Amino acid sequence: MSDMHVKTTRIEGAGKSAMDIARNRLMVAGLLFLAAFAAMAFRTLELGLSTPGNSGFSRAAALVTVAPLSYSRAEILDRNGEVLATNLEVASLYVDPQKIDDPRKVANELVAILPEFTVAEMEKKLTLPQRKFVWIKRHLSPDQKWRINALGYPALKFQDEERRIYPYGRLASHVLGFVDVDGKGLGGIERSFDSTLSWRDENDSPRAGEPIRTALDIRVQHALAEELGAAIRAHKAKGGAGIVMDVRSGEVVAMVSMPDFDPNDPAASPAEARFNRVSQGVYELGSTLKTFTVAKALEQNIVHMEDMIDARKPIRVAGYTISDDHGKARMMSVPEVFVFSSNIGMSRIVDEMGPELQRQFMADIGLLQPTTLEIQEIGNPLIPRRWGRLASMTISYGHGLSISPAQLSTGIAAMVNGGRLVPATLLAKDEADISAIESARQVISASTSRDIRKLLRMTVVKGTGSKAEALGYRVGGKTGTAEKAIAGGYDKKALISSFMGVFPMDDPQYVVFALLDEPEGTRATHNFAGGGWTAAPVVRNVIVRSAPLLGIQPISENQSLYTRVAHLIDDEKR
Amino acid sequence: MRQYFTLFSVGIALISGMVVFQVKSTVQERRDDVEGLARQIEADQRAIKMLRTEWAYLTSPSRLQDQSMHFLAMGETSARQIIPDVQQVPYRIDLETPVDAPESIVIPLRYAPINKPREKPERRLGGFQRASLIIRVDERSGR
Repeated sequence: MSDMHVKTTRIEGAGKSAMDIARNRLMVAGLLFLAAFAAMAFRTLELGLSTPGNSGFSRAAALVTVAPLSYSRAEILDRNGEVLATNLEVASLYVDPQKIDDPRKVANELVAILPEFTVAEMEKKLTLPQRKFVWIKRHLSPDQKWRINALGYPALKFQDEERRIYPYGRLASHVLGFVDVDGKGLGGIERSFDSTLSWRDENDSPRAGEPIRTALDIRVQHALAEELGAAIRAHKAKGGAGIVMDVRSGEVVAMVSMPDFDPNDPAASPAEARFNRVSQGVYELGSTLKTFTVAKALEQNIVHMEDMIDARKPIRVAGYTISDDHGKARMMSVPEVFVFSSNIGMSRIVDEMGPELQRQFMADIGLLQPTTLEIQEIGNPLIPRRWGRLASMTISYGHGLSISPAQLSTGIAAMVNGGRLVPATLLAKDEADISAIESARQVISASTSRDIRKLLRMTVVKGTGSKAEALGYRVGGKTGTAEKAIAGGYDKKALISSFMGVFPMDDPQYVVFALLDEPEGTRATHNFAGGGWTAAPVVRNVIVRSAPLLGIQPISENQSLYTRVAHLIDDEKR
Repeated sequence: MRQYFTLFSVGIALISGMVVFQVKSTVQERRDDVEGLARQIEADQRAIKMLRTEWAYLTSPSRLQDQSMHFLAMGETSARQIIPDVQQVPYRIDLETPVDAPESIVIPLRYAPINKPREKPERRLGGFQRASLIIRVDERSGR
């Protein structure tokens, strides 16, 4: 329409005055401006009223993204999500001495915050001539940084650095491991999952990978570490090992090896402290292995619960005498052989079974292969070269075969959980994984497993494991006391004393194992240093402290479960 | 009429220009806000990570145990103190029976969930042994 208007003005324009022409032109210009501004207003309205997405323009250009935190290594968590290892930015303090006016005053104020320095040392650092950069302290705590900032001296400056922090210190040090100055994993999970926790980008700088959720429960870990540490001090032991394992999933809820180290400062501890006695150390564990012998014998119907075994006299085999520590010197029922831990009785049972079947069973329950824990500190079991009659007899009560506590716990879990061998793991399993356990390999029948539960419970009620009884938690278990092998025989003084406990016995949930390396008897233990006196109380205390955390309720025991087996055990003192 | 038209155009141009300028500056302001928020979120995330670690350190079981020994003198939970199911809680209101009826309050038959004689005090190696020591010292100094 405006076009038409413009044409008409031009046609008539020839006879008009210059004023009219100017007006017309102004009009044209005004119309053009009006059109342009109208278009702009329309577009503004359109943009304002439209919903993003269905109109033509993209929203991405307007988006502000929050950059994800970039750290060079991912976290390690416990099963409840507590932080076991993390990377943090820490500040390091340096000073430009040329800008300090009153070194004495600044030194005094700094020493109040950093008490590890003396005022003289600090003053010396602050007055170094011809230097513009002097480190005062690396890796300050956030609180220290805040307080130094609050002093308000411009000459004091911070440099941000990244550092691996283990907030729980020594707790779980053998499971977690540690990292070197370049952030490379040098032990435990830090080493075996190095590439999961951290990866290198195209510039070869490390980036955080996936966080790892371990199976550990830090509260149970603490209870185990503390009880084991107390027992080691009380019995002047060289070291100790402890493990708490879920029998259905194979998850390691706690794992302690003593002596331990602080992963925040691994160099401060001797290298021996990094030795993991749970997975790396292999020991002749003694009578705890009787559990496996009895299980296989019952499974194969080689003996029955009611059978009587001759344990009257020591046995002489190949120039070697097998005798009992807790000798009763009489005929014993199978439960008695187990509960009173008779080496003689056990040798007679395995003699019926034969070495080949025994060896096959030990292989089936993973005692002849290294443990499946996901760390690299794993020890190989020591298997006798000739597995003959004598070897089979000594192995039946736990001598001559060296295995790690982790292997033992896995095997025991299979004995009590209904007979399924579930590989041990340090990583938390989710529900789907746990249902997959139903398909785990069956190594003994469910009914044999029930018998073993009764025997283990009776050992605590009537036999050698009475110190492990924890009111309400229905603890079962087996003691193990082995003399250390030395060149040409055994050292009667140096013991490996252990106790393997399971609770609650009517529906087993957890295996708790404690081992002391060369404990000494005390007055409280009447100078005994065996597993029943030194390690069993550790297991008891750990159970009492951790059962409420693990959701296991103390209840009155259903005694009728054990009546039949209890009748077979005569524990009268004669 | 033409005059009015010109004035009208100029007015429209001025108004729409001003409005657009205002909208644009508001958008810029909002944008700055959003960017500030993004920076704040990042700083907060950093702080959260730091605080989570500090929390782990401050609530580590050994520290809590020490604090509890010093300030609360509480011992470990004995099995006797744990009531396995709600049915055994004494003097509770039974929801099954009508309110106000005399039988709506459950009178306990027995308190202890475990019917066993009292546990003998045992020599303890670790754990909370120190708690009792501290109490004893306090008593003596109080006298």
